[in-house]
Amino acid sequence: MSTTIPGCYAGKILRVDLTNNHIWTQPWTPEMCRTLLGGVGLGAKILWEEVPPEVHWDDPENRLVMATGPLAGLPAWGTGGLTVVTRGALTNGATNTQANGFFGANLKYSGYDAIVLQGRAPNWVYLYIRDDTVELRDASALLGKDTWETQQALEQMLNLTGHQLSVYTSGIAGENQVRFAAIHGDYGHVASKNGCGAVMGNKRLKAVAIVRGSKSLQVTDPRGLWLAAEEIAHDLRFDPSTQSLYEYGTLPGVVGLSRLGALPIKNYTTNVVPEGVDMDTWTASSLRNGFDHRGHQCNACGMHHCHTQVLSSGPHKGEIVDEPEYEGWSGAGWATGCTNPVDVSWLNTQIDRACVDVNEFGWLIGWVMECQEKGYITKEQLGGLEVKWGDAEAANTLLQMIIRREGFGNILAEGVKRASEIVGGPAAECAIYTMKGDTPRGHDHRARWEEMLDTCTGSGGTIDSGPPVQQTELGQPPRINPFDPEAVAKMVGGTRGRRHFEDSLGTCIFTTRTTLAMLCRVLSAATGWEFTKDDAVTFGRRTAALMRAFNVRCGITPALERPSKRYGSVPVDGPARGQDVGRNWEHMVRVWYDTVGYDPETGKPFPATLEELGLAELVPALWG
Amino acid sequence: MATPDVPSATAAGQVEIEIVAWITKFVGGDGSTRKVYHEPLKDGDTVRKVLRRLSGRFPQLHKALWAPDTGDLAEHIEVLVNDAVLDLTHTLESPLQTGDRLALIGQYLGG
Repeated sequence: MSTTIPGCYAGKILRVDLTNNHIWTQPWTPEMCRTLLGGVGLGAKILWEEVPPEVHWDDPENRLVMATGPLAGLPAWGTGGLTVVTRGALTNGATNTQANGFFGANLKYSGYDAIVLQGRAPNWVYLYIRDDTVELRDASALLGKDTWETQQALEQMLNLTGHQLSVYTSGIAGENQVRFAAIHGDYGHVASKNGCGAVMGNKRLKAVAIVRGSKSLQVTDPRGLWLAAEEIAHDLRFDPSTQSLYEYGTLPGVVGLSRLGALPIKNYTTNVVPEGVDMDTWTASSLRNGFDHRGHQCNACGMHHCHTQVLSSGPHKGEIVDEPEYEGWSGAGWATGCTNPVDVSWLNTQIDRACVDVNEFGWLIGWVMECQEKGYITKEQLGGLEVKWGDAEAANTLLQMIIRREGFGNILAEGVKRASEIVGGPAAECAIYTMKGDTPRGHDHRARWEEMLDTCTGSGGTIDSGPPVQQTELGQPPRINPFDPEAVAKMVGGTRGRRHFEDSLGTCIFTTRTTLAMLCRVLSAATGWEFTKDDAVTFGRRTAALMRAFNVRCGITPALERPSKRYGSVPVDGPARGQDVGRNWEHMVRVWYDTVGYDPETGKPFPATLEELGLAELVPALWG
Repeated sequence: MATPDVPSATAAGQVEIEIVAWITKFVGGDGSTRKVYHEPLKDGDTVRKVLRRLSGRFPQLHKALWAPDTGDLAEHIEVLVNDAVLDLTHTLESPLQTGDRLALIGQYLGG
């Protein structure tokens, strides 16, 4: 193995102990780069080695890893990626969540591949990074500011504008350790899962502010990198599977999922679009062109994905907001019965500014709306507030109560599972969550069994495998019957690892919708390694197994890998009416365990699996 | 074989094929709303045969709909028959009847 690390790495990990205001750098070794890559690969290793079981999510000794990867900052589309890894507040287990924007590029140009935060500051601080100047600075002037206000305030304080400065903050929700607080940056990019923002707030870290650095990165084969990146860009534009993503990002999801019964409507109480709602106003083209809009691309990205838009009507007419992703349209909209695109778009940005996960918020508010309609939660409990289906203003009132932990908002700030358990009674049966404590992505998974299984068995506070991408490359069929439990389990297990590989590169998953072979071509050109598709699969499965081992050590057992009663219920209408995931659950989980080589009784990866993946050193720790 | 942009009544001896949103790009549309085709049924027509006949008229749809190596459906487009995903009530080889409704919608991409 080479004795020098590839020039596409900045070469150092930035370590920050907030308790003692101690800042130092840890050099990478060539072996670390090759075996951990970056992102979740690096983060999983740090969690396993530095966060023992007694260090819970709110212990100062918990680590908050904010990592890039070997491709961040390079001239390929979507290379501003941030991966956050920590022990999260919802599951009290591992977290793997991404945001894009410019974090990855700006951090690497400053000379660092990742930031690892530990300890708890005696007073609120923000981390300032400008090349070799790294300081914890007083953040008292930033307290009480939302995500956009925090970025604006720091831009003014530091006299920087635009992409000269990347600010990632957990907003007011993080200050109050809301269990589903997120980390938000660059106006609209959110690492949202498993309460990573609560961990940031627990450390009394208001923000990380990175001035675009002045250092260079060097790739081993610039021509090879350029050609491979161009080929990926070409495929994103012209391949049938990605053209719509290139043009409209995730907007086409609303209409498509509604036809599959997978658009979550009113807290899973129906899958039928309400009368009077014209779905032609919900096509991607309508959602984009119904507003004045402009592109808001991430680092080096040519996709027409991220946009900002101007509200065209209503009480907030003229306000500039972030164009919702599909999950914004569902979480801030359909899940709560709100079908007015202008209202949804406005509420979605309030959620980003408040800094909570939009999916969890949608399930939470939809649950409150249903419970108030049924009389399970009273107007008095909500401090006199009436929260009816589709009322975005009332939803925002609850949002502001939640992020400040005011009144009933203090209960809701615990997330869907805990809030529903506190309220109890019939209300508890209406709540959508996993028994681990997290919640699904923004779909009705009763029509997407793959994703329900992935959510429940995932080790990162959300899905592990994600929707299949180029799955035939991994020996999987191009399509399956989505209600065949065996086929579903084999697909989810068989594609496991690809997403972990992508989440270690410092790129966006929407610009890596190509073959693993092509991604390996880019990685090899950047690093000078011969990195093959098989290497990528092994790497991804190794990282997934390490995250799983961490969770087992945290006490997350297979008994918790189940949907709540409502989450696993049978749709009463719509295209998936009558499909009963619960009846097939045990069989599906068994097949999944068999496919991935884990023990269904304990959840542990079997010794043979660990040894095959190069994790033999974990065998004694897990199996004695 | 009229091609109105909105659904209309299906005449006897026909099935309806609705092309939804983005997939209309592959049949000369703008990628939004819908296009609806009414396809005459022939003896022995199955889901596969009807879709093949339609895609035979639209090379871009053909490329997106079928896997070139196997001739089976590729992963890019979801097929519904009478609002149910393929394999629930119909397979590619299932016979079609007058008034059956097919729909082609884009693959879910995440996010």
